Amino acid sequence: MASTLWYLYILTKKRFIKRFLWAKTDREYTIPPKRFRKIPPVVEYPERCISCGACEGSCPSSAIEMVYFQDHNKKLPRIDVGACIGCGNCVESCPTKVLEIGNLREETLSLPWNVPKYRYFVIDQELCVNCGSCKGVCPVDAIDYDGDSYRIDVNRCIGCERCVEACPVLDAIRIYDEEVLKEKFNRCFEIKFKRMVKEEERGEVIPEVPRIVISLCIRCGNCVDVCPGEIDLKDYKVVECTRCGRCIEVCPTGAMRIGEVSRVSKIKDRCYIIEEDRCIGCRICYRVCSVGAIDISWDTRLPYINPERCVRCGVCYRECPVEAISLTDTESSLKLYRLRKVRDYFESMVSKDLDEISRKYVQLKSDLLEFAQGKVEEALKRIVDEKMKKDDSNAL
Amino acid sequence: MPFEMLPLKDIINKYFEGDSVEVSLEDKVVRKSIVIDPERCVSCGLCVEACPLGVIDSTTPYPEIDVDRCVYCGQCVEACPLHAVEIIHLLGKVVKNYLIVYRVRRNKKLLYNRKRCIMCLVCKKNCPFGAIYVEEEGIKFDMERCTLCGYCGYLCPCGAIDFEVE
Repeated sequence: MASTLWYLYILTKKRFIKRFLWAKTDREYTIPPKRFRKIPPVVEYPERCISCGACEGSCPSSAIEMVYFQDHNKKLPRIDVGACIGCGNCVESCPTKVLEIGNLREETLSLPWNVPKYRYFVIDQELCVNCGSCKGVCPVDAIDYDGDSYRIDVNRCIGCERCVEACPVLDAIRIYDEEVLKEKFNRCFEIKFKRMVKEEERGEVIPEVPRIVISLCIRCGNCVDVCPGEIDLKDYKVVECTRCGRCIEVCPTGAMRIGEVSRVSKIKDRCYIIEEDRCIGCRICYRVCSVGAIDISWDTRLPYINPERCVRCGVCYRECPVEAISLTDTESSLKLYRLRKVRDYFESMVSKDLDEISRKYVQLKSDLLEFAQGKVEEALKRIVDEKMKKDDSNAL
Repeated sequence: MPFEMLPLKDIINKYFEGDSVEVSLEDKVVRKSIVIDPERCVSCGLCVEACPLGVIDSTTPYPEIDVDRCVYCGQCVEACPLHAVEIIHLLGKVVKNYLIVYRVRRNKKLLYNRKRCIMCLVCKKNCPFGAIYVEEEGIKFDMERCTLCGYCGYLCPCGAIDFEVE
């Protein structure tokens, strides 16, 4: 009896307590979450859209597609209402706040915003020609010029790839993502592990001490980990090197580098040309060209462009005060370049030869004069001696 | 009329090995010497008086000339009644790979090139006869005083004064 009562008491007590305990949590569960399920987002401010495609990339159900709209003259997201799951990812990821779902846009505006990134962009300072094309096209002003080189602000970058498209030089803006980082870190651990168990195979020896490209370095420390010598990441210097080449293998951005890298232009079929009848010979283009593609002709004293070195950055085109530089096909530019180059080469050859001959001639002249003076004096002495001798013999 | 002709092969070979080069020089080499014929001289002393620079010393048996200071003006030659004083005047010239030595008598004409003249006035300071004076258009020669001795041409650093010889 007593036990029955006891069990009843426990049961009622537990239920009673639980009822009170659950009362609050149950009520909280009834509050709907902040996701507006089954309500598709709308394009609220189409004029702000920069067609970056962040919403398209963020959509888990592939409900968003970038479509060209005639009346806005750009690509805008088109949302497939049937496929949308109303997660709100697109609204959160939009860097310019174009989309709206419920009042999520307003909420995200108040938050410290940072675009979730899958890919990162870095500028290779050795390949960059400082033309500023990337800065001009960046929709969110993530690229800054510090008076010496251009840099991409990683926090502001939204990964739209416009700078990569606008950059005239191939591979001057490098892209790396989580996958590359993961692969390189794994490789780094592998090497370290093999070294620990003394199974490291000796690879090829690289010909020189690698250098660190400062703008590419993300300070991941992979190189320091694998290096048997010493790398100083504070000063970006390789202090001690055994030339094993491991650091080049594990660097995710290719910041460890040996040898020269050449700038390759993306545009091959078109090239700038200087119209010589318009050119005033101010040589501004010659000064602004950062790849040294412009030479001055000996013959005409006007500049001409070397299409093999030119990266088509367009700095000379922008700086020319009389609009003498225009874009034509590479063939005609190359033709003019070859004509001027051969002429220059010939002129320099002739002038070098002339220099040598004139130098020789000057030496010869002084030698000849000395010789002539000696000979004339000798002859004079001979005449005088003969005369005196004759006089002497006559006197005797 | 050439007195002597010497080939310049060695010197040209030194600089233009085997190349067929024809060398001629504008520059002339002038050397002079003054000789008193002791046989003819009678020690009359006229030459001592005639010398504008006073470089002839009246010694026995015949006068001596201070060769370092003499400018070979020819006043003594003209003054000598017995033609005992003689100026030997040799001119060396490089023409077509040959050094040709001429024996010339006297200067005939003075040629002044205003374009080359730098107005240093070395000629004016050193002319033994004071025949050179300055005008706005360069220097001028008083041809009445000038004896065409050629001393100014020898001194001129830029070769502005030249002489035509007989």
